[in-house]
Amino acid sequence: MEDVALKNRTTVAKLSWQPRSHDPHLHKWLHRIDVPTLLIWGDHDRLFPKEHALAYQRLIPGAKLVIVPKCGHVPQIEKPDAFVAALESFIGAPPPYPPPHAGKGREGARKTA
Amino acid sequence: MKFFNFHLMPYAQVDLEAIARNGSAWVTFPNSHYDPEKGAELYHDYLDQMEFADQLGFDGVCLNEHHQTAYGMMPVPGVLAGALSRSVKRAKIAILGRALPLVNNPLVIAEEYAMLDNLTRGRLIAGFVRGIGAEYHASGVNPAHSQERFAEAHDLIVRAWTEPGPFAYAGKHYQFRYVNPWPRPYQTPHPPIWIPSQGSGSTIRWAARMRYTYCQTLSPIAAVARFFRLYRDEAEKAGYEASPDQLAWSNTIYVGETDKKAVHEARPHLEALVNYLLKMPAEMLLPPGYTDTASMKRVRAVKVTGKIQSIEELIASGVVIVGGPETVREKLAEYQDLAGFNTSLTKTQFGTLPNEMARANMTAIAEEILPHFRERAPQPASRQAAE
Repeated sequence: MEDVALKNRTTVAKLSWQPRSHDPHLHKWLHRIDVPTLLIWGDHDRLFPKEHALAYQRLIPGAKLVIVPKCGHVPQIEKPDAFVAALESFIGAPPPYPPPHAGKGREGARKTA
Repeated sequence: MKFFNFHLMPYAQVDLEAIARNGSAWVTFPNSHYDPEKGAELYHDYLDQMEFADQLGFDGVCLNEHHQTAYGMMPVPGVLAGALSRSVKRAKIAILGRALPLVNNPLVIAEEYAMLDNLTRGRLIAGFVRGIGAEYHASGVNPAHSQERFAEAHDLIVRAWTEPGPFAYAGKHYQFRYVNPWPRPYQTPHPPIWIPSQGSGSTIRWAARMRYTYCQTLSPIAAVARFFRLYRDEAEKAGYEASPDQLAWSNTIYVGETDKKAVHEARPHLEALVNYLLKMPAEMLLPPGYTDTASMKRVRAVKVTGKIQSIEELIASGVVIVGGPETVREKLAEYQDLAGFNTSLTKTQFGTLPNEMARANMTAIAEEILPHFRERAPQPASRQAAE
């Protein structure tokens, strides 16, 4: 297990040591996004706290933001119902069949934009 | 045995409590704690000590390289080697940097070393290191590329020194249309190459195969003996017998009037070195990818940086030798026989040790220790008995 962890760390370093895990020039380009945009972010993301989500929303014209409560860095895995609900609502598509926990998921998602 | 005066050039005027509050003297320790007037004073004291070592009969002086730290004020050791090249008249000058992977153009190191070799008329010893983990935070160089960059930079520098230029070089990390450095080294084919390491197996085996002098940094003597045995075994596999001259132990020696006085005098300064100046969080010492998985696991298991160490522990484990002249002679002879080295890289100033005490220590070592070891080589019989 330690081997896997160390190998993962090495790969992360290879990909993101410097600049550290981000593109420092990205903020200059986000304004060029001209398609409808939805940001889905975990309320308790400790890798990239939700302040990042607010910054993205500010920089991408017309972007919508859904903050998923009690959720960390990976909403699609941690809170799939809330994630799917937010996505469906954004694309305006009714689900092809009622998902088993749809109600719970929809209540879990909170729209801020 | 040959003796080198090995200086780390610590910022000895540092506020130790501020280091404790910050958790480390490295990388994140604010440089507002550096006072240039005090620093300038220290640089001159330390350079004077190196010149003094030359006058006292040390065989060489050693500089090293670390970045963004109060532990040592030598981010660019070539500057100090240049300053010493005309005032150290006889002794060799060893740079136990330079950290090859940290530069984007290794030819500057080929040039710098060649210049120093010319200035000293062939008294330069060229150290090649990867730098400790903290340097990868200080330089931004990717630690996961460290080993590749070291290997490639080493090959490039040696080729630049030995193959007639200009030639083209195309590596993975470094590319040059023209490799043709002026000046060429003074020594033929090039300055002796020394490889300091914390004890990585792959580094020891490589140094042995290349017949480079291997320098073991700050370690208990039992570990030093193990690492040096690995070197000798690897040399045998490569078809030659390693000379004890190829093995250098980096140590700290303090000689006082008596054992008791020596320990009393050295204690605060040595403990400042190991418990304040050396301390760093594990992720700083071992950034991801810095070394292979096996070595990483071994070092992580030891948890080297956390322990508070007393001078008694450092003496007992044979990391340092502190005592009256007789004790120091006995221990050094015992360790030389045990580990089989013939070069002692000795820190005579360490931690917060003030100038006058460092100079007194150097004088005591030159008078009480050096003459007894000049002609002394390791006695293999007692080593084999110990093994």
